[in-house]
Amino acid sequence: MEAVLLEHFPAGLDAFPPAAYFDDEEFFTDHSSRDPLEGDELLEADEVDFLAPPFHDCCRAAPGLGGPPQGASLCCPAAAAAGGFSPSFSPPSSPSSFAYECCGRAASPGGGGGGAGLKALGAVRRRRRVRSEAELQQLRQAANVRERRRMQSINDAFEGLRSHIPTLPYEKRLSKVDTLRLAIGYINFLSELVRSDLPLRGGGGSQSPCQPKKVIICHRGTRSPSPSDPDYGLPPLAGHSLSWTDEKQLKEQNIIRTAKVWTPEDPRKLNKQPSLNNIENEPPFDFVS
Amino acid sequence: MEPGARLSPEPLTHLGRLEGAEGQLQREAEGGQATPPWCWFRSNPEQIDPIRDGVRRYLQLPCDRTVLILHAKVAQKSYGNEKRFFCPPPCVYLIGPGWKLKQEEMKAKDLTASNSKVCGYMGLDSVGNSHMETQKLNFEEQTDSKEFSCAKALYISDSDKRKHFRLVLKLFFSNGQEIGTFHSKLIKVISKPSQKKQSLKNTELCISSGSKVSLFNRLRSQTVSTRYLSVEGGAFTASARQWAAFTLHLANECCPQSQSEFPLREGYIRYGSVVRLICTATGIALPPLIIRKVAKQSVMMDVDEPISQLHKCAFQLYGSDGMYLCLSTEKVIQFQASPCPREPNRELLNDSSCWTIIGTETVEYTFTEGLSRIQDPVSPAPLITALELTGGGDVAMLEVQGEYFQANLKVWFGDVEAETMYRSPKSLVCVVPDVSAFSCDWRWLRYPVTVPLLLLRNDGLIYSSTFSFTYTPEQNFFTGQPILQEIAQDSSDTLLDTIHQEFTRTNFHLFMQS
Repeated sequence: MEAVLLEHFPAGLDAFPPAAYFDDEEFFTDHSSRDPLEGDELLEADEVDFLAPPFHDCCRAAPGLGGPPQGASLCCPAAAAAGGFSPSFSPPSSPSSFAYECCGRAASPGGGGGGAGLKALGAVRRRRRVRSEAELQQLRQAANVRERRRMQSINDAFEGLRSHIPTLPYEKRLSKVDTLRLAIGYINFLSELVRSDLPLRGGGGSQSPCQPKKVIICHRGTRSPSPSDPDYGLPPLAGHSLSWTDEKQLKEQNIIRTAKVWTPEDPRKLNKQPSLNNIENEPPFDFVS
Repeated sequence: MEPGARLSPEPLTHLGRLEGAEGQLQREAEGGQATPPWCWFRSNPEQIDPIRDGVRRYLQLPCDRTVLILHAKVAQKSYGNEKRFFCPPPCVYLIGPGWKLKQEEMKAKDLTASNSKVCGYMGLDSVGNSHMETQKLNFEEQTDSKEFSCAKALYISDSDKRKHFRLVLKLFFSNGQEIGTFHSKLIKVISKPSQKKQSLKNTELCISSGSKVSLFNRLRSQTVSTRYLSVEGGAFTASARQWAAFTLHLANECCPQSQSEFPLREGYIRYGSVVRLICTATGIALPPLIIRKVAKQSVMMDVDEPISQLHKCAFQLYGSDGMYLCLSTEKVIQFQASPCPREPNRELLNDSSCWTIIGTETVEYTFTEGLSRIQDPVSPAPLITALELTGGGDVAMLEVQGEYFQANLKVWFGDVEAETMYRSPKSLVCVVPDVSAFSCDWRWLRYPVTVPLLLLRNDGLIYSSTFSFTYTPEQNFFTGQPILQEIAQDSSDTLLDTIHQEFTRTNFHLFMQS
């Protein structure tokens, strides 16, 4: 039992400073990335095995701690983690619900739990009583397969995303969180590229001849970027250039541009309808006012 | 709403915000003395809040009052006992929703409805203490809720030896409350229309492309028969009551029909050139016209000298065979000129096709007291004519140029007051506020921010302007465009590589994070 634990955490659980360990949102991935790259995907798939049995093994074993060694050994640290560091432990949904259930079940023998966790537990128990051991094993295997497939599809998707993100030449493979972070930044960067492209092609930024020099106010002391900034991923602003316009001038120019033409009547055309197209041949018209 | 409830907590300037204790300095600095540049500060928030709140309300719902004065650029002198009334007569328009609002407000206070009516007097600015002859103005309401009046009987006697003068307009409510005193632009005094050929060395009387003119017709030189070219109901008319200002500009000779030709052709207008006449108020234009010199009832076809003020001219429809712009009582129609029997370079016209041309000016004073009760006259109302930006880097300064400035004025960028120094009646200088003063977010957002420019009197009276100010985000590293242009012909892979390189280069900080 202890041996299994030590195999995966060679330095022993205590050797990992809990804060640093759980700070990383991905408990398992982080662990796997310490291993050589080839074994990476394999290990991630293995985790599913480790992950899955504790779901009910732990429950069954909870009172006596007599369950399958793997399950119990992994369950315990996770439960401990959930109990001890849950605020900083905010992984994607599956590990969290796992930790929660573990926690709930671990607490239930003490009788203090109650609430939704307990009711759910009761429901599970009721269902489980009707099932045989073989049936359960089959279900477990199916669940394992499903979970393995799910993880695989997520990993594939991350790999796909990773391949589209430019990296520095010497960079090791991006972790999932960095993949997401850089993807946000890169999309922002690209959209800015597209946006800023348009006005420039129109022919120069300086509009008015009376404002030939660009006056720029620079910004200093900007804070470090965070993904919640609207400009995350864009190079920091150097500042703002200043300009002014006279709306009155624009309005006048606009009136000239959009002027509607009104043509004065030619009285001859009104009086002599038939000869409309024959102006040249007409005798000089005597104007009567 | 509570005053200041919407205030952003930290109205920062780029120079940082010094503590409110220095607010008193602000009051002392108001005398017009230049403040040393290391003492910039924002006013004490408690003091500024009601005014800032007022400005915000104003920006949401501007209820301006505008006084618009239209007048000619030149005036003919009256000799002896004669009275040559200014033609076209100086006009005053009261425009804007603020007038109605103010009148309703006054009615609510005092139930006698008559005393909220606006009345005024117009005259010449006086030299020394000589008596100013004024004329009473009665305002009539027009269809578009403007109020209009004109001073038909103003003249300048030859005893007045000035070469230039201004008109002075005093406005009151009929209960005696003074609104203010407003001035026209400078008017040049001339003795009679110039007979000489205009030289382009002395262009004072010339008419330049893009300037505004008025055209009037006077049958047998009778003042009573004067009709002004105007636009009513979408059509050009010859009005006996009202005149319009038209933008006169040179048209492109090759394709005078083209509307899109821009910028306009510059230069002084000469006889024989193709011009456009566009009504400044309605935007309705006449077809392209050739402006011709008129002498003794005939058109001079071969004259190409510059046009001068008060010249008589005729407008031939471009491309037509001797058709001219003509009036027939109220209507504007075409008139066919007949060839002159002996002189081939002349065509015979009628009186109704001769128009006198004169340059005009407009002055616009806009003000509002918003919700504050201000009884003092709004004058001198400032006019902004131009802006000039200087500096950059840490501090940018804006010089506001114009007329009638006083030391009690502050420049506001939207709802943000700028540190303002009074230099002279024609110049104010202020520090451009940092963009973060408008909202913390705007320092990060990547689109331009535009705010209106206002002048505020120390009692909260708002003088709006036609100027607006824009902050455009700038990136020093970002060179997206050049990349795209350089490699446009290369394969898309190269393009992608370049974008990748640019991204990793400019976003090095993101790679450093984990």
